[in-house]
Amino acid sequence: MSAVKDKIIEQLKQVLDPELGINVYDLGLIYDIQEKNGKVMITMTLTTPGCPLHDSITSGVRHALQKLDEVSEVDINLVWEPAWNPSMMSPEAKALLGWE
Amino acid sequence: MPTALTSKAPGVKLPFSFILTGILSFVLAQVLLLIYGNDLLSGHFRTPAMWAVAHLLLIGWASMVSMGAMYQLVPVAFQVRIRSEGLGYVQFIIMVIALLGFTITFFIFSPAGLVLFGSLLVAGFLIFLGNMLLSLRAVTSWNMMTVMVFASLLSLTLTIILGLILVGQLTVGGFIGQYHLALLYTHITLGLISWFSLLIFGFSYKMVPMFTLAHGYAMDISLPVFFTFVAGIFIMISSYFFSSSPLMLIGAVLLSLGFILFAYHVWLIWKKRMKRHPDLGFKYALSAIAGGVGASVLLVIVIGISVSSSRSVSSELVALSYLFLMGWISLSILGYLFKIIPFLWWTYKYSNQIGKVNVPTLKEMMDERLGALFFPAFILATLLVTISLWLKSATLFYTGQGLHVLSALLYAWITFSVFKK
Repeated sequence: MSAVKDKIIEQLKQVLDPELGINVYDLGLIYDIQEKNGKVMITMTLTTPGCPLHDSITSGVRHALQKLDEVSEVDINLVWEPAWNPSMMSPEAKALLGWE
Repeated sequence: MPTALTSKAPGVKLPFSFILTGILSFVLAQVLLLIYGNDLLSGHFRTPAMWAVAHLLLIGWASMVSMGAMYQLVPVAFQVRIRSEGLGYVQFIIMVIALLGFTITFFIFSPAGLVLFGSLLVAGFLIFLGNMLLSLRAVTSWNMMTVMVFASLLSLTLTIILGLILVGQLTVGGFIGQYHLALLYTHITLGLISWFSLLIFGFSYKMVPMFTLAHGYAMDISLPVFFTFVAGIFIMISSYFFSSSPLMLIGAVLLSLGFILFAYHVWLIWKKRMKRHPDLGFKYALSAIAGGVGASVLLVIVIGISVSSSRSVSSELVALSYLFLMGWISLSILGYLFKIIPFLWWTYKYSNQIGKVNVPTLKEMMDERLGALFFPAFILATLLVTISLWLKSATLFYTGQGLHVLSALLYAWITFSVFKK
């Protein structure tokens, strides 16, 4: 993994789902990260279609990545397929939800 | 990968206007119940003061909050836009004027005032119904959640039409007067039980999985939930026109079965949750289902006693109507508002800040420590007042209602404190 991608992941871990208090990366909402010459394309989903926090979370991802000096442009591709499911969460996220 | 639709969430001011007005009505209604509770204890249920308080609770509190929540939840649950937010504001202004006027004219019992402000209320509700039906018209895939919400709106429509007929009978008289009581009981059944219960059932199927992160549950039980409940309502209403207690008993049994099936279905969804410890308000919203089950099972027992012994059970029915309104409808609303209010304020204040600076989570915006005091106090107060109405005990009533007033003030404090976060 490139150093820039590592930094992108670190930034994504700063964006919390305000309902769950868990970051979008550990929640498993990020499906794909593409980076080329400062242009970043994030393919992501949300835990439920019609999530009322839709705009907040996607713009949160954009804001967090724009903080990086290495990033000049951020595109968010929000998808519903494959649908998010709990198995996509990291062990840390599951622990935060009470499943030790 | 199919791309997601953009967000259809409306602005937060419209739902907030309705919800905060609802909370103020709730506090006022509790104070008025404390002052005029004697009417209930002495068995005078159909007095101007009681009509005023009942409508303040059902329209000013429960309906205003429900409508505000629907302006927020319909786009979320059904992926459609509200047809006209502007009409929503027009409706809000009409509803506030009508509510104030309707409450005052009930107190002073002014027939002309009731007609005037009753007509305004009807206009407000019709604007809401039109706005919702036009919004729901865009729904592409119908499911049980859509059917339940649509049926609840139909119940509200019928409640309004019956309300108009009843006001006409009170003021002008004559018009199908022989059915006055049957129409009144139908108005109460549709307005108290059907409109709110179907709405809570329908939106629970969206909110319970969303707030618990439940996955892999079946939805097939929602079909018998809906049909059993609706059959119960239909048969109960029929019993009023045929003056048939056995028919009323069959209706009550089906209604109760609908509640029990719904409780069972929610429990199955709960078992599939990923969020092991859901938030306080949400847990109490779910506990309200026990209130609905309890009230409907007691209704079967009370009607059963009435059928077998032919004695009057009017005090018991008033006590159960109260339990239904407080222990099921109000507790559901109070619990869900613990999620909805911080969400609306967070969206207004912090949604543009996420990713830039540290923002609070929704859970941090509501004082759960005070909530842990409020909810048990509300439940205790509801039980005390229900028992007091059943047994006609003044001591229990004033203890319970005094606790209700204090807890309502605490709830208003908790919710309005969100704006300081």
